[in-house]
Amino acid sequence: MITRRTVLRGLLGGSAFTLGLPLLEPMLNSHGTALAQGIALPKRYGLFFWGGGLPWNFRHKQPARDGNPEPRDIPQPDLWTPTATGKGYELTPLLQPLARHKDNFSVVTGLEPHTDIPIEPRGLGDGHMRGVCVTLTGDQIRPQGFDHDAHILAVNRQTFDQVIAKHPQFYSDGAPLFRSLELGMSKAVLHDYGTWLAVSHSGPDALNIPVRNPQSFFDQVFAVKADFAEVGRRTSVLDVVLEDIRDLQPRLGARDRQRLDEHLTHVSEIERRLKLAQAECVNPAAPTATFGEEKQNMAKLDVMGDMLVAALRCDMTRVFTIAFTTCASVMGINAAGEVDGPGSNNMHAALHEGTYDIATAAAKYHMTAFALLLDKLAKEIDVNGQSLLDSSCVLGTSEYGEGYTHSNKETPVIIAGKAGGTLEPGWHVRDEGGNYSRAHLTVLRALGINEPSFGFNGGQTSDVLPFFKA
Amino acid sequence: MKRIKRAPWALSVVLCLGCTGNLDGAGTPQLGASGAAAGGGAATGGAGMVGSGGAMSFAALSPAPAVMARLTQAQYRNVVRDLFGVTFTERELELDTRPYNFSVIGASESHVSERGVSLYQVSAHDIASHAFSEPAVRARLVPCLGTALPDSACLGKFVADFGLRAFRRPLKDAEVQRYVALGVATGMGEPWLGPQEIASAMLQSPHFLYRVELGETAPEHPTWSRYTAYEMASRLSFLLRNSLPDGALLDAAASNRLSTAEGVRSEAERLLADAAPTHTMVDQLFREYLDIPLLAAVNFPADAGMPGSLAVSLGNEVSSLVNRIALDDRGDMRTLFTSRNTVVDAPLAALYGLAAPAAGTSAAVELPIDGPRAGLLTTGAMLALHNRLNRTAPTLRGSFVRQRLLCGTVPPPPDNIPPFPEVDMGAPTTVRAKVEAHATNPTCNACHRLMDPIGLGLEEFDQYGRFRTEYENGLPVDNTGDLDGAPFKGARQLGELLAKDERVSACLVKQMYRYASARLDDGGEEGLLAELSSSFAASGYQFQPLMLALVQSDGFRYFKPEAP
Repeated sequence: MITRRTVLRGLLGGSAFTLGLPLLEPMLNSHGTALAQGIALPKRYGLFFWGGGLPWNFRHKQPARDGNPEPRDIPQPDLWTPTATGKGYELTPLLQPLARHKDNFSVVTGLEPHTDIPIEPRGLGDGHMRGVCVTLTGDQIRPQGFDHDAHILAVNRQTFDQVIAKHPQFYSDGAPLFRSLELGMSKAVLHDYGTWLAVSHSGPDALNIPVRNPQSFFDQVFAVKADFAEVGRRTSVLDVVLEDIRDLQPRLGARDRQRLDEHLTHVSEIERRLKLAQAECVNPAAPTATFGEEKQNMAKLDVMGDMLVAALRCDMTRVFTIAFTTCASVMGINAAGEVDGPGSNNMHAALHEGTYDIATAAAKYHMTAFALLLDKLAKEIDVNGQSLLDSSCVLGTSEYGEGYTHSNKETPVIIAGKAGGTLEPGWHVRDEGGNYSRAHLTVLRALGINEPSFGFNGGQTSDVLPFFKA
Repeated sequence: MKRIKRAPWALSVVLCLGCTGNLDGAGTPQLGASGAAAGGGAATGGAGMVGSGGAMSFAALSPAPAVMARLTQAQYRNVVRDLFGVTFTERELELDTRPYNFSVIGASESHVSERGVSLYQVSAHDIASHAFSEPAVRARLVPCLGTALPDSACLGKFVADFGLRAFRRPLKDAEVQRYVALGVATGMGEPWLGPQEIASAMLQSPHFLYRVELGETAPEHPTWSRYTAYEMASRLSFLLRNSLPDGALLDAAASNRLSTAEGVRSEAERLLADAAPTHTMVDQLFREYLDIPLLAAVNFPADAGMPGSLAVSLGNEVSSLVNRIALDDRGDMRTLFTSRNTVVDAPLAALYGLAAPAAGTSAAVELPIDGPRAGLLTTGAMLALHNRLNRTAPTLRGSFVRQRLLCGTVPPPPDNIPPFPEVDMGAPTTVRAKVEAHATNPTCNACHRLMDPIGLGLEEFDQYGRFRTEYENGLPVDNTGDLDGAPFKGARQLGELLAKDERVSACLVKQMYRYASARLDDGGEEGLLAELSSSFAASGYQFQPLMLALVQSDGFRYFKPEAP
């Protein structure tokens, strides 16, 4: 019988070489429901993030307020929210691109941030900024260093994907090559800092910037491994680097000591990976194109998605994030949904200006991309005969609900996959004004992470969504 | 970010008062002072600093803590090039971030990611293998190494020599021993692998990747720390060369000539006298300050005669304008806003309606005296940057002038932006008419008056920077604007106002100080910034004297020690 991670003793430097293996049939128990050692089959978590939320509709009309006696009432149809709730609801036009996966996802409408909005510093209620911090972390924006004027903001804590990737209950059978992988498609970023750039953060000011180049991603994940002699030399080199870091740390102030501490953790992780020789895996083809133009975002997802699925199948990671477009994306799109096509406006501007047809086209475009990702996960059959999507839980979300006023109400949430049977897809759950972090907690529980609650600074909840089947 | 002593939200509180009407309160920018003659500052203070080169005593200075900036992408590449004497193909590194405009600030605030460290590892390994695979390069780097088994004495010499430049300071004995041991262990089979792996390790060491500044006690200021002579060599070199110190700087550090303001001045003058790298430095500083990298995201319509390369042309014009005034002419930096002399290539000439130079060449031109253009504000670069895609955005243009050029602050908008009043789309209207709707709403106008009246005066240029007298719908363009009570018509008049505005020169001083310090200015440095502004005025607003005053200042040479 082959164990999950067979440990070989290498002679070189006395190092332990752990051989990571893709899941193979002989590792399963006789029912094919778990690994032979009694460990549950792996589950995967993914984030599919898009910027700009949804087109507004009459549900979100502005109330009258000081100086604005007239409420704005744009009689546009709500193309997102299904009418019926529960199972068997009818897909709406904006959910239509996901139709072939209707039995693979649930949609949750009405959720919004419940985090407190501190009075100082001013601007912490900003739609983009508050919204993106809540969807990514379940917490408010970090008040320290916040500067609305200069668009400077940091998350208050690590993002949700990192909570999972570092949770002791998630990689309980040992971390694979990568605890998480961060991908991005669109390069059209409003500002090249913080949450405008990355959807995964290890903490405040610690961005996990997505890889947007397919070749870089290929090199990162599937590069030819060094031979044993070279691994030994590289390990010796990293040991010297670690010594330098440890010597320097006590001489620094608290903040830089923390920065170096993270650097040290990363070096150790790279050393671990160097020693973790990956068994033969059916690698995807190396990319042949660069996909440098925004209009190639979908084609890029096609290629990078194949690589991602290969990495998941070979159990090189179980956590991924995809920033398809970023918070407040400035990607150009026209009313026909063509990126940089004739008459394009950048999404952020189009939303500000109330261009309903462009906002609608952008939402459809994003759902089409999400469906493409789900196609890939559904097509890939895991060792137990089920699809990768069956063992996964993929959260599709954006930074706010309504782009026009940047309102955080009605933040879109789609939870796809069965997470190995703990999620029952096919629901529409309506929870108007509900706490966004219900989605987070549901995902955690679905992945077998038994946290009693999730959310911070007013955003806490212990309430899971009804399609979670314990 | 926690080192920002004067918390940004404290600033917001002050400026919120500004939004509700008290624009003249203490601590806010002095609105209405724009007409004050900037030359008035010339008589006050600072002259001694520029004239004699002696250090000023900044009684009011409370120095900020040191920051540990990671090398930016450009610095990493420059350092590697200078270290090996080889230009390598560019390897992927973690992206720079640019909070508060400057990548050096991102480099001192951000925490490197795991992937970033992984890219450093791959890069270091590739660079070292590449360099040591070239017999000529390795013979130059390690002349003492023969074909015999690892030679500890020779490795020790390599570690000391290469390490001095890689770490920008002499290595301690324990460090030399550590690296020699690595070279011996890894060079057992093939001697060249020893120094190769030593180099690879040094390129991954925190002493290489970060600008480590630990300082030393300063007898003249017992409660402050002084950057060591080697740290000063690096500070000067990374500021003025964006790379590691050259041999002369390391010599100056070794002979302890950089512990005084005079010594710093002498080396800074030497570095500034080297024209090519100084041009590159000015270019880097102003491109980041003025957001030139964002031009790449502007879609110029080819069918309207604007080639995709126009973004490059626009950026180059700003570079040449700044470089000419700052360095070639040693001119008054305020003429940046009024100068009619610029450099155009064919695409730019077409945009400006000028006779085109030969394709592929650039030509110095004098803009017409009665034309709409003169100075930075009328460059296509500045005009094309702050717009919505299909129209101008006076609010964004005004916001740029208010925040970036005047260093003013605009409070955040309400959490849910109140809707605009409906505009009757049946009748033709203009951007001005829509934006002026802000002024009819006191809630909007409290803040929009800080931006809109400035930006509206630039309406004579469209979103690509083309001059216009009427909109596409035939309605006439109105170019009247207002800068804090001073009315103006058009970009040239706004440029004249900004050139005379003391806030603009003080803002440039502040931005340069941030760039040089790789951090935001600290509350304890206000007195120092005021002194630097005075000395800037006393020098006739010249760039190089300001840079010299800055590097000699106590704020650049001392820091506040932090308990480890």
